[in-house]
Amino acid sequence: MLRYTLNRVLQLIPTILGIYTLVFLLMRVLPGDPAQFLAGAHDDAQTIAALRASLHIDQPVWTQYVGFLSDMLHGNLGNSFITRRPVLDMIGLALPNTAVLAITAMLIAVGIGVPLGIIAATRRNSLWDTISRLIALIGVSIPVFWLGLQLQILFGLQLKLFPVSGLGFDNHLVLPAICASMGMLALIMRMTRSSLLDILNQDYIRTAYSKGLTARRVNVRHALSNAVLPIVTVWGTSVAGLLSGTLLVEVIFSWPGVGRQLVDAITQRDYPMVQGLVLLFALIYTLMNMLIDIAYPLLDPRIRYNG
Amino acid sequence: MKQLRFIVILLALTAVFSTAFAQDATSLTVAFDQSQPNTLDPAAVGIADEFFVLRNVCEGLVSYDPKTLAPTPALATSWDISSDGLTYTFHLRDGVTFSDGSKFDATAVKYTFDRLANPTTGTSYTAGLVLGSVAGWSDARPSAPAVGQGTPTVPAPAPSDGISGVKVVDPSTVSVTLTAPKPSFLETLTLPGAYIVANGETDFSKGPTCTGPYTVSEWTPDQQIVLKANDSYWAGAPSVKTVTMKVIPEQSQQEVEYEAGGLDLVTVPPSDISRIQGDATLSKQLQQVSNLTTVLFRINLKDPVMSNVKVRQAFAAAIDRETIVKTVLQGQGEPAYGLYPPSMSAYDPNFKPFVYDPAAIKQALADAGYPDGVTLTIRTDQVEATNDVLNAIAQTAAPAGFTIKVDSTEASVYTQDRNSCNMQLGSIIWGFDYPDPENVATQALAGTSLSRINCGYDTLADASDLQALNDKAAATPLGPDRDKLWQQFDQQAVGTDAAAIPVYFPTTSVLINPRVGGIPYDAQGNIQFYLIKLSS
Repeated sequence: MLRYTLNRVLQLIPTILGIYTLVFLLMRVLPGDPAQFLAGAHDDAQTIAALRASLHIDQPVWTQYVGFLSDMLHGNLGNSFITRRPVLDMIGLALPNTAVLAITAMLIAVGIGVPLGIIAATRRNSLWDTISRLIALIGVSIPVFWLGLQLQILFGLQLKLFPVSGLGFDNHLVLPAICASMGMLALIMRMTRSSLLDILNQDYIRTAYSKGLTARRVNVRHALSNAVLPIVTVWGTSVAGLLSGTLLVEVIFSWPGVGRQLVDAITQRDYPMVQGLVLLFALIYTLMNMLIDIAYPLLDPRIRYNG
Repeated sequence: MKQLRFIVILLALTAVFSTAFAQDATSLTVAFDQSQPNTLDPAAVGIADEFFVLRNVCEGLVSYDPKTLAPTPALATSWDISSDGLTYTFHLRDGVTFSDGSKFDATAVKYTFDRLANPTTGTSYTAGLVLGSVAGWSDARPSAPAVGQGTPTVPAPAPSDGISGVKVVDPSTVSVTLTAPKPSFLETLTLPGAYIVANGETDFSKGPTCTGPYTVSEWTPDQQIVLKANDSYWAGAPSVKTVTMKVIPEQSQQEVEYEAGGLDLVTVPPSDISRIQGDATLSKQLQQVSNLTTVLFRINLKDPVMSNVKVRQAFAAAIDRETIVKTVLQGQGEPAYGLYPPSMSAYDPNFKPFVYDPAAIKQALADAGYPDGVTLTIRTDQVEATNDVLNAIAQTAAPAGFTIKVDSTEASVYTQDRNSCNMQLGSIIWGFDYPDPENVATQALAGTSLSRINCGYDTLADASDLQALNDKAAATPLGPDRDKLWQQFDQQAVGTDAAAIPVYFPTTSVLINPRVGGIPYDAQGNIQFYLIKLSS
């Protein structure tokens, strides 16, 4: 197990390096010159040349790559072209905001999705099942920006219950978190339902009932604990997705997070910011996947990693 | 019963969390129009959101009248201009202090202009507009080849004694020497680059140390900037004590926030006007604000098709400006036939060189050698209102024989292609930096700056005449004579050469909370918080 974990951690290095190289090259292949964009409508050749020099983009791409890579290995992601502040500081400002939003959304998704899924599976074809499936269907099919606007109109403008935009770890969080949780909630609910249904048809469930166990005990102890593996898989990948996927929510609710930062950075050709943010997303994604894989044997003793 | 209890708890919770927006008569909340400031260093600022903050925090030697836009005293109480028009002597206001408590005097003025002249610190484009004709500028900034005409070089270090044309005479007097008479010099002193900062200040990361009616008390990137009133402001303490400037990047979200009561004023795009006019409450809060802006086309005169003056004239006439303003812009603006907006004294309402007559235009195109019409590509960046107008232009120009493709790309790509003349026609929204025709004529059309707006200006048959006319107008003192010369320039550059093709003068529609009481915008379209008095 320890060896497996170590192996996985070592595998992270080439993955991250590959992603970093790809992003570095992609940004430079994209048309659009950061210095000319920064100079704007009014500036002359000399200003642009000075800007290029100060941003170090007047050097050959190879030199830039080695420079950025060496800085990165020393824990320095460079300075933003636009604000001239360290990329790490800027991400540090926005990341907690995204994390709070994503974690709240995840709690809502798991807290509502799993119980709904259980109810739907154990009372299959009942009214509860239909309602749950309907919620799930709506959750996966409603576009986030539409849902966000509807929430704002209903709860913000009509009922005046919640603020419509801005950052705040209080009632400001309610609408964006609901909005961000919908997709994940639907996914978790459907996965819980189908995986639980699959288990409920197994022979050992019938055996458990014939032993005289209560339905509650069978469902929780025997069925749910065995159904949890696919749920965790879905949960894990969607948590990683949430961090980057709150982007639209961040834009709609003016929530200053990393998703919004990334879009701004790309349109402004802010190379160091894009590189830093993609690196962050890649790290979160790979780490999350690794953690899920490591958690499998703990959840299901039948799974063993050899070497 | 259980469910009922759940619903009661839910309702109680929402009641606890629900918001009532606190509004009082001393605090105002607004949003940044486009995005947010990246810097608040007067010598480095370059975008509208940055100007928006600085105009309320800092001030220059000269300000302008909010209505007439004429230069008025600010940190200088008066000035003398030598008879040859080359030396300006400014008498500074006494008893003014910076927000850090230090005294305002001539050394701060000298420090400010030296910083602005230094190519390392004076990165704002306004540096050239303010100091371009001041003695010593060419030492600080040796001239560089225009874009696409030779390899530009990194600037040489600035002279250690700063810009030689700005001199401290005594603690309350500063003299500025120009290399050539420039009557618009006073107007350019109202630009943010010329805002006076405290002597020796180098750290602007928390906002500048200035003398204006407000100071920056909080700056949280991506969220907000909070201004606090400077109660010791020399012209009297402001009535609004706190101004919160929020970062809400999506314009539609700004409107939602306004309707929820979280903003005191908000800009509205043309596409939303009809919805607001249909709303009983909002329609009463809708106002039109004029600003100094001309929307026009930049033209690549080296392009084989656009180099033909008859094609340019035909295209200029094929734009049905009246219809576009009425329909696409919902009346938010005026058709533009010349370069100068209606709020400028050089504006001539009778100047209408082009008539929209599709049949006649088609004939003119045929006479010019294009019996089958002309295909043009208009480049633009991704501004929604602009794209709507361009698509409408494509439609109105079609019956006149023009097939127009609108190619919309990201701003960064557009800027690069513009600088390298890689486009036939491009749309520009030209916001005037200062209220003078010189700003668009010299900066955009004539002179060395030309390559930025029009490529191949020197290929015009009358290029030297236009340049001479521009130089003469720019050297003429402010007043009717100067206006007449600028009108002549307009007639020749636009009317005869169609070297610039104006489309419309936009006005801005804004929703203003009634408690603001009136329209807090000046004739340049800027908000001055100092002038606002809120009713509770």
